[in-house]
Amino acid sequence: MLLWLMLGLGLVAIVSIVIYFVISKFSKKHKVDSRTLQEISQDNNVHENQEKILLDAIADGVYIVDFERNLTLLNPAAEKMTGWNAAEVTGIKCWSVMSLKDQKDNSVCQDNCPVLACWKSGEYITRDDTCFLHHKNKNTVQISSSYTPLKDNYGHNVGAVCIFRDETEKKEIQRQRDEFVSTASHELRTPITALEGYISIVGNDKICKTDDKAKEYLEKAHNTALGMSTLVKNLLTVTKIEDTKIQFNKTIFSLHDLVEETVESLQGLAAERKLYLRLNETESQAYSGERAIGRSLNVFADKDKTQEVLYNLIENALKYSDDGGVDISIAYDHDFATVCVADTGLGISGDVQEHIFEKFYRADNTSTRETGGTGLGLFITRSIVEMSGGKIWLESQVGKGSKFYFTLPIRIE
Amino acid sequence: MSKILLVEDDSALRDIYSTRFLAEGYEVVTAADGEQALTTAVKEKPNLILLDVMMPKISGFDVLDILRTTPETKDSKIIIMTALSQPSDMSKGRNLGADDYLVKSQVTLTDVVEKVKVMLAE
Repeated sequence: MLLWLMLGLGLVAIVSIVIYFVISKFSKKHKVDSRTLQEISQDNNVHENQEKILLDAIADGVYIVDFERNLTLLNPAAEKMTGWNAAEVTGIKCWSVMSLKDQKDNSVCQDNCPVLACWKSGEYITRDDTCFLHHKNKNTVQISSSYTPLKDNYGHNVGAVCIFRDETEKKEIQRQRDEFVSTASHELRTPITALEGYISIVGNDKICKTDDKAKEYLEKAHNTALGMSTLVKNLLTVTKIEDTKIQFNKTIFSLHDLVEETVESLQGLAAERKLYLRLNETESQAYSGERAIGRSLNVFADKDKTQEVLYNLIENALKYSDDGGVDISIAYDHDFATVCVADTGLGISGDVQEHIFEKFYRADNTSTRETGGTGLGLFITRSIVEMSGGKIWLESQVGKGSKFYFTLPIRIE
Repeated sequence: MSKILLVEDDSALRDIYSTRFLAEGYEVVTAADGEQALTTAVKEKPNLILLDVMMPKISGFDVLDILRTTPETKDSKIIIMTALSQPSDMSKGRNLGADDYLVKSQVTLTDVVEKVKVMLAE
């Protein structure tokens, strides 16, 4: 019994010693760590190192100037992009190292100096990527840049932090993509046009003899070719919109006359679908409240692109209506003309309305699948209206038809 | 019978347009590049020239410029028909003396035939 008791006490003692060692080791380690952290936070040299490490790690070029625009700091990325060593340029005027030029090769370092501009505004400013930086060895780098004023405790400008990014590679990728899209659409367009042309020749009685069944299939083939041709054209337009390369040739013109002309040219399609299509004059003028001048008010926009908007909205309205038809009206207020395209179609549910102007969005139902389309028409329509300074929206209820509205700015000569 | 010179480097489009114009009762001569266009225009003296722009050897704009300063062709009706749709290209075509400027993606075969008919009737 005594032996068992002694053995038990011995075991407890061994376990206690082990636990003590483990605990003391842990707390010792912890003490060492916390002391190191405290030391780090109190050590200014390490602080400076952190800043240096941070600046060295940034892939963008960073330089700092004092209140006389003398360089006080250049990080390694800035050294690489300019070809100068920080040590050899510190204290030198920034424009002799950071020689920036615009697209027309004019210097932007004197009157247009972005550092002066940020001091003047007192705020952070950015310059888009139209600036060119001249490397020491005369190479040119296309950059985008931002400038932040440095202020003392009294709010006086004492310098500026300037950050710049090499955009050469991005520009090159963009150029290659533009070239690809332009080449691909050109290469696609030519065979589609040929396809469309050959089908149209076969369907022409003056050239080929075909029976009624063949004619029916040829018409379907022709419509498919036309659809492909529209898709290619729309893709090209979307690319131009996204690159903000689309050109607007704005003029002052009569919206009423353009709507009238468009309605007239779509009467054929309406008749084919056994629907009415009318420009509702009475309603247009009643809307305006300015009966006498309503028809003569002009808008300021791109006429061809406005017609594209009208074609898209009216063709959609005709496509998705099975009976009844489409009414167009124009209202004028002080600043804007509002066109309304109202149909008697199926109507559009709330969740579809939210997404209908988005790129490649197509409502997933039998009716949209049957009528075909690219899902780009309303995206292009919205972009054109907004780029013209107008707005576009719709009102619709399932089973009660849809009303699409868009506005354009009025211009009185 | 009016004679049309069709200048187009794509053989399928050349085939389609010439077939259609022949069916409409016109006499059709064709050229596949800018150089051929110039020699054929001087030799055949067409009433109307349908001219592509992006072509081998000499571009359509240069062909147009030369045709307008050549006595045999300076009065021919010339319609540019091209894939180039920028306003700057259109005004270049007009300034060089084109009677009309059609963008291929914006017109159908029937539209082109109608334009030609109207222009030759003037």
